[in-house]
Amino acid sequence: MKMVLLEVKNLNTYFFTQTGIREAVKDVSFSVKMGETFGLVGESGSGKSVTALSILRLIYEPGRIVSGSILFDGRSVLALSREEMRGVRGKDIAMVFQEPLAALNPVMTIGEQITEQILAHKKVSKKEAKARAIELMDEVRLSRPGDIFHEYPHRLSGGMRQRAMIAMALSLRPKLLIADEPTTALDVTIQAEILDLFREIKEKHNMSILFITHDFGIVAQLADRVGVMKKGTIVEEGSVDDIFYSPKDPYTKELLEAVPKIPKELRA
Amino acid sequence: MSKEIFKNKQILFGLAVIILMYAVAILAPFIATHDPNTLNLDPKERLLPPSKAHWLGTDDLGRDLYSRMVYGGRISLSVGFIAVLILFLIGLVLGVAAGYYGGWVDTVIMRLIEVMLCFPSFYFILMILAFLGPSIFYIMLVIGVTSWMGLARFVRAEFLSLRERDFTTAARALGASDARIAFRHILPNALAPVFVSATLALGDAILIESGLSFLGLGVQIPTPSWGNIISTGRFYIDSAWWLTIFPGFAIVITVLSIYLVGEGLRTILDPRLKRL
Repeated sequence: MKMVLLEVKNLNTYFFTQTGIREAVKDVSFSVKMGETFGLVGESGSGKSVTALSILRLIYEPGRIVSGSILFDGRSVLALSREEMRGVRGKDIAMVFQEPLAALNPVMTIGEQITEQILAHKKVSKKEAKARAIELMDEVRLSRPGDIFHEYPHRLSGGMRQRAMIAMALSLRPKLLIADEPTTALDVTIQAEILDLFREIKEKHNMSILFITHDFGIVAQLADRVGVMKKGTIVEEGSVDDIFYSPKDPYTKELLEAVPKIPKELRA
Repeated sequence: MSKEIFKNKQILFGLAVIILMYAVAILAPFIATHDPNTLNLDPKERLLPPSKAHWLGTDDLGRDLYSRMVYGGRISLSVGFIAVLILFLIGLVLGVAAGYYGGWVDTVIMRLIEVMLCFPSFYFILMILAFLGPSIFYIMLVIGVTSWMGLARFVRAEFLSLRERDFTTAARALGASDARIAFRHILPNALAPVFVSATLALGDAILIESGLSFLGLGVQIPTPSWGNIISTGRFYIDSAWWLTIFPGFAIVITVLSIYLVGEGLRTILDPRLKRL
């Protein structure tokens, strides 16, 4: 039995807007074990991203985590002080975003951003941080790290940007990586490469991944267990096989049917 | 962007003049032909029109106008520069605080800005200097302390939009501290328009200093400044035109050049102002 790394229990995150209360996350519970990939699937607006941001306590006005508990590595995330929380972000739990061009700072070079990320948490010299950054860029397969180090984000391709983002997230060897639709903005071939990269780094560092996506294909390739979200709640949770071969909830069935199928005569 | 700057004739002309002015000011001891403060009360040496010996003529006390203007530029330009430095620092810190934190910090700072803007700034400066007494140090300080509001608003506006951008959230999600996010991640994105505003403020500061010196509340005689040279020259405006025309021209061309650069940069930065 693997140890539980992250346990979310009865999480409620609401947005108190002028036109009423929006219950973005309603009574959500799930857990991610050590070294496991947990896929969170659902349509747009189902509360996947808000769940992820709640775990990092990045919900701001008018949103609020109303109730529930989030245990990470035995510690209650919601009870941490601001400064302790800052230490957790990036160091214990890191996040990769959907749109790498928007998530990277347009006026800093890739190298500066990775170095900055290391310097924000560790007291090392600039030279050491730079050496570490090059190492990380090599690890995420950014070709010619020495050159890319001095490039600005807009000069890179989408796949390279996402690799740079992943390098930043990996820089402090987090135990949990939250990936919020990291391949949605990429085309299919690059998508496959990035998924391979995720699989590889997970194996290498025995990291846990919380993978958020609306694409069942990706879930099937990557996840060990899956939670299906709809309108702020998890309607079904189980192993990949359970969800794919014997879905119980009607919504899960509908979602699976919505995945386009290649007709038999077109298959190789 | 740097390419556009070097193609823009407006900016190039302005920059050339500003650099020339500052070069003259810095190299004043080597460029001046006479000592700016040596009196020559010999009636034959007073109020001389421009000539080979005195390029821009002499003033009512027989001092060489060219040398006085070279040294006066030193004062006018450094007052402008230091005043802008002060307003830049105040405006930056308050603007960052208001824009980054929002909430009551923003409310307090914005109300303070509004209160400061209620005073007609030139008369406000005059009043403070009348109390403090004129000194170059006070002039720099007072101009800086009374003109940071525009820049602070600029910085705040930039921060309000930049703090909602994904890269800010990403930096936060990866554990960057508030100070790091504000100064290392957001500020570099906000600098371009802030520099434009600072450039325009430099022109304003030089104008204010000249105005104050003209009114006698600025740089005090015998230390020369463009403003106070005009101030004494105005008594002889019908007989010795050079005493008002040359320093006046120096002020106009300097301030105009600074505005040209500021406006040029603004055009480059704001795509809506670009001609199609």
